[in-house]
Amino acid sequence: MANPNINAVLDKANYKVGETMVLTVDYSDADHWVRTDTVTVTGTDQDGNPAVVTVNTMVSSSDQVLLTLVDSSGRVWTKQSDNGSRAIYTATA
Amino acid sequence: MPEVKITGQDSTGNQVEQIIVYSVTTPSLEQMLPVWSRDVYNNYGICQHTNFQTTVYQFQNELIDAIADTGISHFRSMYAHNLAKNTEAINRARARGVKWHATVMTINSTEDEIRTRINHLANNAADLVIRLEGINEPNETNVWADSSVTAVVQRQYWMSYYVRTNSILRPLWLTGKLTIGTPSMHDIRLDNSDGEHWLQYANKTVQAKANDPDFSGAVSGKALSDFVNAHGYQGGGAVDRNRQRRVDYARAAFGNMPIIFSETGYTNAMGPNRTAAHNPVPESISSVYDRQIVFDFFNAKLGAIRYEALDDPDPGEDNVVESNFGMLYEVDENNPAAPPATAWKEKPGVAPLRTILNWLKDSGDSYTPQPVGLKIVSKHADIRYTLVQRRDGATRMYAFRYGTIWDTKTEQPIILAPVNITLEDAQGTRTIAVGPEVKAIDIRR
Repeated sequence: MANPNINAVLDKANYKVGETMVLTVDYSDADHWVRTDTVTVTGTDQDGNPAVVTVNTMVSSSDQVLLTLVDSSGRVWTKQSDNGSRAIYTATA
Repeated sequence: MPEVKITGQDSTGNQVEQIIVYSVTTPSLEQMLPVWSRDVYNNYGICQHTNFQTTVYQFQNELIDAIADTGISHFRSMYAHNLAKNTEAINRARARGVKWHATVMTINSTEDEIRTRINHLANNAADLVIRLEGINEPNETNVWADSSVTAVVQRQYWMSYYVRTNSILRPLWLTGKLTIGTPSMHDIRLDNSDGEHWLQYANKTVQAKANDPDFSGAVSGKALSDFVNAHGYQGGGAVDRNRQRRVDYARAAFGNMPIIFSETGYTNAMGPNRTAAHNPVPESISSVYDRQIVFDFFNAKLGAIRYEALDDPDPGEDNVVESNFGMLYEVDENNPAAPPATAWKEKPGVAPLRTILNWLKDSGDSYTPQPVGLKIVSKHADIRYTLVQRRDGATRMYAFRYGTIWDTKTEQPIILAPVNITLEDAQGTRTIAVGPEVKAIDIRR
């Protein structure tokens, strides 16, 4: 099993008191995969008219990355978004 | 510098960490320089009467104790060496660490009497007396005769001469530990003369003695004074009512010489048949103004000596204006000989005044305050404030909403609602409501 990868970046190195700090964390894991499948169902009614339904399905492995943040100053970081590969956190300087 | 540690961990426990260091800086605050709290403390005194020997004034020890217990640094009183209570007052003031702003003569004092009194003071109270004041209110009539002006300046000269030639007092005078002030003019009479009384005194000359170490020939009243003793009552109005006019009169005669208002304050003579004089205010109103005096006079670079420590006995409905200026009152004014421990009570302004003065009091002869990071983000125009610091670094802003809080015509309170001041110090920004009552705001580092 491979280690996960993370790459965290703050929007600035220096902040003024009260300023909003933005932390972006890109993350991935080689053992974590996501596959999207398309299932097509075809049928015919009593009059012989064809009907087609297409459904997308997403399947992923169970090996997801859990992110935790600890700030030495005690600041609270709040997750604003997470799309599975990029999480955005903010805190107040 | 702070850091944030980001940990990524998968379901099998594999994990990776990344640490990012960052910095947070406080925007550089304006550096404000406080004044030493003790300077504010020393600037405020109270009048009393060590030369009164009977009724409530037979209790000089208790009276000086009350002044000391309130935390007041000095009192103003006649130094009357020939009266029995004078010695009692010396001993008690010394024991309690209270200083003395002394008057020593009247318009009828002879040169011999003045010399004798100054010598007695030198030998018995040189460690207590910090200032001398000329004759109290010599302008007793609106038209001040030239001969009267000459008599006043002559006595000022004698007082000055015997201080400056006394082996004990001269070193104190030369080092500023004992200063010599002008006579104190009656404020209304001075107003009526449009300040002329000061000019008459300041410009009148007398002849210096041949052996005077500091003057020769004609010496003026102005030259004989280190500071101005002004009197200024507010007549029941705002803390600085009528003050600037009296300052201007003094400036016209004495230039930039320091000014001490050796009488100021409010009477509580709210009786229905009161004598016509100063407009009175209730004790609840003077309580507020009394605390404002401490700071507002200091801010204006004016000394303030409140009139006075103790109400005179005035049985009945407090009709005698002169008798109801006290910080303390008697429970039974028909019995002025009653023991002070039970007979004297504090008016409502004393306790909060004591709290303020005890904070301001600081040890040592001098201290140079350090700047503090403080920004006044916004402030209502009526707010007046004083930024003070003790030698332990504790820094405070004392603030109040300036204004008139008693209508002397309708005899009703004027409500001044608290208004805001927004301060930013090292720990952030605060908005604080400030009303007429002096408010203490700690400045954080």
